[in-house]
Order: sequence, then C-alpha cells, then structure tokens
Amino acid sequence: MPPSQMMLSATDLTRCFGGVVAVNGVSLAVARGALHAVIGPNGAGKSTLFNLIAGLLRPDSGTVALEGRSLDGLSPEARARLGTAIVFQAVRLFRGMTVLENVMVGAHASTHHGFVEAALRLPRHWREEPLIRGRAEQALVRAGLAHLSDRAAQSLPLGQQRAVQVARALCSEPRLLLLDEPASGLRSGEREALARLIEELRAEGLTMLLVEHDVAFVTRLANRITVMDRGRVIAEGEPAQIRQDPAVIAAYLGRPTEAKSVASGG
Amino acid sequence: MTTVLRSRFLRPSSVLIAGVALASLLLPPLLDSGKQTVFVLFTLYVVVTVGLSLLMGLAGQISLGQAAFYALGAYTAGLLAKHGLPQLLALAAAPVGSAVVAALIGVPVLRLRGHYLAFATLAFQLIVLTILAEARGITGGDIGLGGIPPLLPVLNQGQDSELDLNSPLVYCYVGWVVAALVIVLTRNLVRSRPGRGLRALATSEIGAAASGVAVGADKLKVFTISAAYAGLAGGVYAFFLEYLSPGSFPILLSIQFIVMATLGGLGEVWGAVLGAAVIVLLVQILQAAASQPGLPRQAPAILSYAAYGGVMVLVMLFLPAGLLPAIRQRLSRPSS
Ligand SMILES: Nc1ncnc2c1ncn2[C@@H]1O[C@H](COP(=O)(O)OP(=O)(O)O)[C@@H](O)[C@H]1O
Ligand SMILES: [Mg+2]
Repeated sequence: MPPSQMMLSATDLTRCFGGVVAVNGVSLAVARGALHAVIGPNGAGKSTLFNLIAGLLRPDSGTVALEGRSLDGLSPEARARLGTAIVFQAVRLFRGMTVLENVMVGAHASTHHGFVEAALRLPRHWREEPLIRGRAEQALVRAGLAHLSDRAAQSLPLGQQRAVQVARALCSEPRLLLLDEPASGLRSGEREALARLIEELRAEGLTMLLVEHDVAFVTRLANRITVMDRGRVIAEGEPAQIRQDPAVIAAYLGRPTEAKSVASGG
Repeated sequence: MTTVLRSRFLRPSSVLIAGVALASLLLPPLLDSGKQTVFVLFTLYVVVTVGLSLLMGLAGQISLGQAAFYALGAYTAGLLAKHGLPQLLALAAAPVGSAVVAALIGVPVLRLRGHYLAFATLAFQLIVLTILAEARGITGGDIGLGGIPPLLPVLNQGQDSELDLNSPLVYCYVGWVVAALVIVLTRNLVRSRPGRGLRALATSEIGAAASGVAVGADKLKVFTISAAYAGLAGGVYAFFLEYLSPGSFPILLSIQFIVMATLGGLGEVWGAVLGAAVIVLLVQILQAAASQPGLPRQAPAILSYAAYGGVMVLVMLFLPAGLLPAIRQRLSRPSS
C-alpha cells in the first residue's frame, strides 16, 4: 500500500531511558480504518511507543507520520489538532473538574475560540460552546457515563475514570485513537461494554491502536496484531497467525499469568 | 426554556452577586474620606488578586512579584500622563506596559517550576524596585514621582463646590468600574473553552497537552493577563495618589496579594474579592490597634507581616481550598 493509505506509519522508532532501550527500532503501519492491537509483556515498550506517537516523548531516532504527513518535532497539542487522541494507561483526569468538563476539554483539539473571544463573549464563543457541550454529552452517552456528568471526575472508581478518558478522547473526534490498556481494572460488565463501544467505533471507520493484555479480547476485536518484547517487534500479522507464532508463544502467550495481568506497567 | 431562564436568573449566587454589587455601590458615600481611600485601595487589590488567583489557581503558577507589575503599571500611567498624554490613554497604557514586560520575562521564567518560579518572580520585583529607585532622571528615584495630573479633568477649579471629580469618592467608583470589568472578563474566560484548558493544565499538563491544550502558550497568556490586571490597578493608583515612589510597592504588597488570593480560594473569581475584603478589614483593625499611643512606629508593619503569616498558616491548616469553596460546601451540604 502507498504511504498515504496508511493512517499511521512509525518508522524505526528508538527511545532509551538511561541504559534501558524501551523502544528499539520499532516500525509500525496502521491502515486507515484498522483496529491494530499491540500486545506484549509488561515493560515491552508499548506505552513508550504510544507516547512517541502522541508526541509526549521525543524519540532518539525514527519518524512518525499521520496520513503521510510527518509529525516529527510537533508538540502533543499540534498532533492532537491533526487528529491523534490518547487514552492513557495511567489515568490522567483533571482534578476539580466535573466529568462533563473533563470530557469537554477533549474538544480543544478541534475547536478554536481563544482568550479574547471568550472574555468578550464574541460570536465564535457562542457558536462553539454549545457544540462542545453537545459533543461531550454525546461522548458521555457512548461511554455509558451520561448519568455521572456532574460528578467530580476524581471521585469515580477507576473503571469509570478510564471510561471518562475514553469519552474525552472521543470528544476530540480523532482520526487516530490510541487506547493504552483501556480495559485494565474494569469489571466484566464494563469490559464487555467497552468491547462493544470499540466494535462500534471500528464499524464507523475510526482507526485505532489498542494495547491490551487479554488475548481473547484482542483477537476478537483486532484485525492486525503487533507483538512487542523488550522494546522490539517480534511478530506482526493477523490474529490467527499470531496465535500460532512460536516466538509469540514463547515470549508472551506461553505465560498465562502475565497474559491475564492487569498490573500497570507505567 | 422560560423555567431554565428563570431558575438561572434566580440562582442564589446571582442574587448574592447583585446584592454585593448594590451594597458596594451604596457604601462609599457613607464613608469618611479616609475610609473612602481604603475602599479605593480595596477595589485595586481586587483587580490584582483576581489576576493572581487566575494565575495560581488555574494555571498552577505562582508569582511572588505581582506588586512589581502593579508598580510598572503605575509608573507607566504616571510618566505618560505627566509628559502630556491624555490621562485616559495613559491609564489604558498601564496594563499594556505591564503585560509587555510579563510576556518578555515570562518566556524564560515560566520554564521554572515551584520554588524556582517563586524566587524568579521575587527577584524580578527586587530588580524593578532597584531600577525605579536608581533611574532618578526618569522616575524621580527614592524621592518619588510627583505632579501626576488627576484622572478626570478638574471642572470646578477655584470654586469649592461638591463637584470635585477627583475626590476619593469618585475614585471609589472608578475603582469599582475597573474591578467590575475585570471580574466580568475573568468570569467569562473561566467559563469557556480556554478557561477549561487552563483548569485542565493546572492538574495534568500531559493530559491537557494530549487533548490539544497549548500548555506553554496558555501559561504565558495567563501570566501576561495577571500582569495586565496588576498594571491596570497600578494605573488607577497613580492617578489616585498623584505621587509614586518605590516604597509604595514593597515585597510585603506581593505577599499581601498572595494571601488574599489563597485565603479567598485560588482560581475563584469571587474568592479573590472575598479574600481582598477580609484582609483589608483585618489590616484596618490591626492598624487601629497598632497605632495606639505608646507602641513603636514599626508596630503596624510588623503586625501586618504577622497577620499575613498567621492567615496563611490558618488557611493551610483549616481551609486548604480557601474561604469561598468552604462556604459553598457548607451551604450546599444540607440541600444535597
Ligand atoms: N519515564 C521513564 N523513565 C524511565 N524508564 C522508563 C520510563 N518509561 C518507561 N520506562 C521503561 O521502559 C520500559 C518500557 O516501558 P513501557 O513502555 O511502560 O512498557 P509497557 O507499556 O509495554 O509495559 C520499561 O523497562 C520501563 O521501566
Ligand atoms: Mg504500558
């Protein structure tokens, strides 16, 4: 496929922390509309890879492009404006703000009115505010949180905080959604609701990159899987292929305790 | 629709705000001229504190040098008016002068965090005070800058009518209008897209940046706005006193602004008003007590320092979120 067919192409990304090579020469291409999963044991470098794509970390080397357009050197906010959105593994909500307000911040990437327009209540403020609110309310409905919109975000249990993050990301109407272990710490009902939401989003054509430890969950949803171990890609392919790959079985699937793990690796 | 409108209109906060606005409009004529001066200073402190509260509470930054921006605004307005610029234009230039300086120093200074930012802003104020004291040819140095014309044209020169447009009473209303303007603009800003971005970045810069909030630029803007507010207040101060000297802008004044903002509740527009009111009243009471015969001349200043320290300790122990959030919580508890 030509590069423009790819929603995301990451090429040869490397990032070290002191002596640890967290991401080591990783290349990854995500087709438009695909749900691409990244799996691998804790410490494999999945979250670091996501941070490199979202611009929250700088790579030591390598490049990232969104729909053929280079993202290198762009700030996280610039990348968000171009259409990336991330659901963090370590929940990052805004304290002192309601669930609705948290989600409304997600709309920042695709709205524009600034300090002067807000302070003077100029027309664009009046146009955009109801739009932002409406979009946030819609995202809350999709994430199953509509009844909690006035609650303080930090007062919710962890599972619902994760759902708030998903709603916040959806509120930006992203082109590429990065989901870093969105199901960890969720109860089985919440997990099922999340899987249904992800299926819905995929049906609508949203491109997603998903990290998840639960292999059944991943093989049900993803149409492509990249397996990482110790910073490197050790396999890539369709779910059926991956399940039979000896390197994968050795590195990851062969360790059931790890595969079921919900511990957060950073 | 009508029920929504009505209920919004009759929200207790709207009633309370209308009450505060009305009471503060009716109060000044009832005060003697000394108390009117205190009222004018109170309105100016509100303007500075609203900006500082925005900076500290929303953008999560601290400024120990806010009185420097107050001074810069005062000298900008004073010098321009003294050298012939129409007074209202000179007043309008005051926030601009402070904002430009803030935008320039903000780029390096806002890279610092926590204690370092506090030290840098403190150092900035010391530098400003030194320059004001040393640039005698321009500022009059320690002796001060006199001969600043009054803000409003004197209509009644020579007659002793009651129509003195530069009495403290008139400045009470000038200050009131400026404070009201700043409160409305700030409230509008807080309740909007950029305001939510600021509140977001105060607790998670990474989460905010990933959502598309321009974290660095927004922090610089808030720093600049807080300086502009301080400069505007300083401009009114210059016309009100018609005389400026570096001694009017001590570090203690910066500390006072921080105490007012923290006491009221950081990030709360009305908290800044409440914090300023409580501190002004407290200082009035203490100064009355400290200027009793037999006490040393430094007693009022020493008592002010002690009071600010004491208030800060009490707030940190008992009202970590500040007075206004605590009151609001008290009031909402029985009903919800
Ligand atoms: N900010 C950081 N500082 C130092 N080391 C880090 C940092 N982030 C990740 N690492 C290290 O990089 C490796 C990969 O981590 P991570 O990307 O979180 O893995 P995963 O998400 O696959 O569990 C780990 O060894 C981890 O300890
Ligand atoms: Mg991780």
